[in-house]
Amino acid sequence: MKRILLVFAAVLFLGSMIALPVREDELQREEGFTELSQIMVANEAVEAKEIPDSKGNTVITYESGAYVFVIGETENGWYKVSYQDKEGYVKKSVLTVQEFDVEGMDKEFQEIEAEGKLVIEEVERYRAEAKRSRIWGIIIVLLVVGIFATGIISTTRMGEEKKKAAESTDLFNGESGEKKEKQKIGEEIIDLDQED
Amino acid sequence: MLKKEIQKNKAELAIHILISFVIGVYPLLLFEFNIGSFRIQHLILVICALGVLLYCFLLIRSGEWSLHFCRNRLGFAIAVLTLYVFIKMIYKIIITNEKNLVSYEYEMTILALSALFFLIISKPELKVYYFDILCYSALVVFALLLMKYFCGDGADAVAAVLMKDKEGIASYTILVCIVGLWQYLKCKDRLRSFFYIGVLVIGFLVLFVNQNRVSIWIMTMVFLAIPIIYRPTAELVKKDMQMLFVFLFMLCNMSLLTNYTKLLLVDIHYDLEQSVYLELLAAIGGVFFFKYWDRIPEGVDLKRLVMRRMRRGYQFLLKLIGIILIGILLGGSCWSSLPDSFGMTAVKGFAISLVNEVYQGKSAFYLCFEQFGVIGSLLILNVCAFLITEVRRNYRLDKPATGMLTLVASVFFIQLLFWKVSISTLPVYWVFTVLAVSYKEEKEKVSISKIKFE
Repeated sequence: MKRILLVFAAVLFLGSMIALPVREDELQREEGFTELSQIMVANEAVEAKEIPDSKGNTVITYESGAYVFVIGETENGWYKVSYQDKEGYVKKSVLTVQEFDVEGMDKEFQEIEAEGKLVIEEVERYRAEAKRSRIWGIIIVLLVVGIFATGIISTTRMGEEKKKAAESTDLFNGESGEKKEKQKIGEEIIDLDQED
Repeated sequence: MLKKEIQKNKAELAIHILISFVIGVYPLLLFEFNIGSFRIQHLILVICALGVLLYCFLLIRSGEWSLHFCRNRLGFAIAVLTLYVFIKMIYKIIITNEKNLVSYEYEMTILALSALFFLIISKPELKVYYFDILCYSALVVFALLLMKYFCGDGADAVAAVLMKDKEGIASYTILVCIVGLWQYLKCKDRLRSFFYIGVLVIGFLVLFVNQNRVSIWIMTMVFLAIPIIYRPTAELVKKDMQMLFVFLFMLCNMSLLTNYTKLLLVDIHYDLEQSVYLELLAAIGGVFFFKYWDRIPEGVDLKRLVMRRMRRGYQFLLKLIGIILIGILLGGSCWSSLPDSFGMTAVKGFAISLVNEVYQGKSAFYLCFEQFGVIGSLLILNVCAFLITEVRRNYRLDKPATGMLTLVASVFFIQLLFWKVSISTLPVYWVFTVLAVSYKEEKEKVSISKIKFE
């Protein structure tokens, strides 16, 4: 039981030791410093100082109309600002709060989202079209090749048949069968409308 | 004697190879490539035609081959035209500034066509394989066009010449459809028939997607002209009607294909209302046709049965649609003021688009005057007039192959009224037209016997 209590006390001690620096930091910030975390606009060209004093070294330079990220404010009329891992102090008078048109922004975001959707749809459509094109290409090629092959096969077959017919007729009377058939048809044409 | 025969065969062979090349390979040269100011198509045509002519000339010198130059007035007219064009070409070369590139395309084409004329007319022979070569070659061209229509790419680079020329596509497709149809009508082999049907169906599709209304009109006239030009046996009429109904079926359904599907990637529109009226007309025509067809007694060989009254009906229909075409064209822009009452919208829509299409196109005769001036154009018109006379003189009902060539020549002349024939197709039409003039076909011997009705 004693051992358990000892371990519990040790854990409590270690926990408080870890929490202590954080607490100390928070306390330091709370003294005359208010956190803001907001975007403001520089009214004019402005220089951010290392300390909240006009004589301090310049750390960051902002142009007029530049957006400034404000971390917080001090009691003596300075804003603490930040830019690319650098921090500095700027007089409150040179910054104004940027008011955002929430509805407008919402609309803009919606438009961007819709545009994105359209782009995705367009890409999808192109992909589908490319796929469809490929399928049609294959169908057309197959169709044409099929017709081509039919022509070639029928020519070969007809040639062979003609050869056979010629050989067989030559054996009997020496006259080609086709010529004889032509003559026969030529002699016996029937007129359907002769009675008229 | 034997040497003479061999030389003669050599010249004949050279001419046959040239004709086969012009019909089968030349229409496949559809890419754009220029050598100086000459397009590759013109250059190849001139080199091939003049090359073979020179080869035959060399054989003439040894007295083993004879070219019939001024055998008749047509030959003389073409010789005069050739001379004029040659002089004009030399004049152009002399006066042209070295820095300026001047085109001799038209002059070269005339020279090549003249050479082809004199070569063919020296020994006019029609081989059945000429038609088959054209069909096989057309399949390749049609495949490229279908790729363009259904896949949207692929064919532009290979067939740039044809893709830019809507009339060129129409002209070539009509020619292939006529030849395919003729081959189908004469074909006895079942498998072979499927080949021609395949060529025709693809040809019709290309014709409709190309949407040249004049070409569709001409093709309809061809269907009606076939039983007039050939002996109208029941077998021939049946096959012709089969293909006409396939043609009309596809034409009527083009509005469905274009308005309700996204299969075609080209911007064309077929009016649904016009399709419905066309279907109605086809149905009415079908009723009359089958009513007459029922008169055929059973057991009669369709190949030997001639339908003279049917022929008269086709003559009437052909005249009718010819008059309608002329009427629409003469109507001009007045069609737009027709009221939008029942049925009128369809007529108005069709007439306006047909008239606009015809008026936008540059006819071949206009091009003659533009390129060759008054004298040159008069010489060309003179040649055309002689050609028409000679074609008419050579044609007879008992010469089926000549009939087919006459049909091609007639379609060629009709086309010249509406548009200029593309350089890829012009030599092919020319070969068939010259053959229509010069081919001496053996007449079919027939005797008519009376049919016994029960």
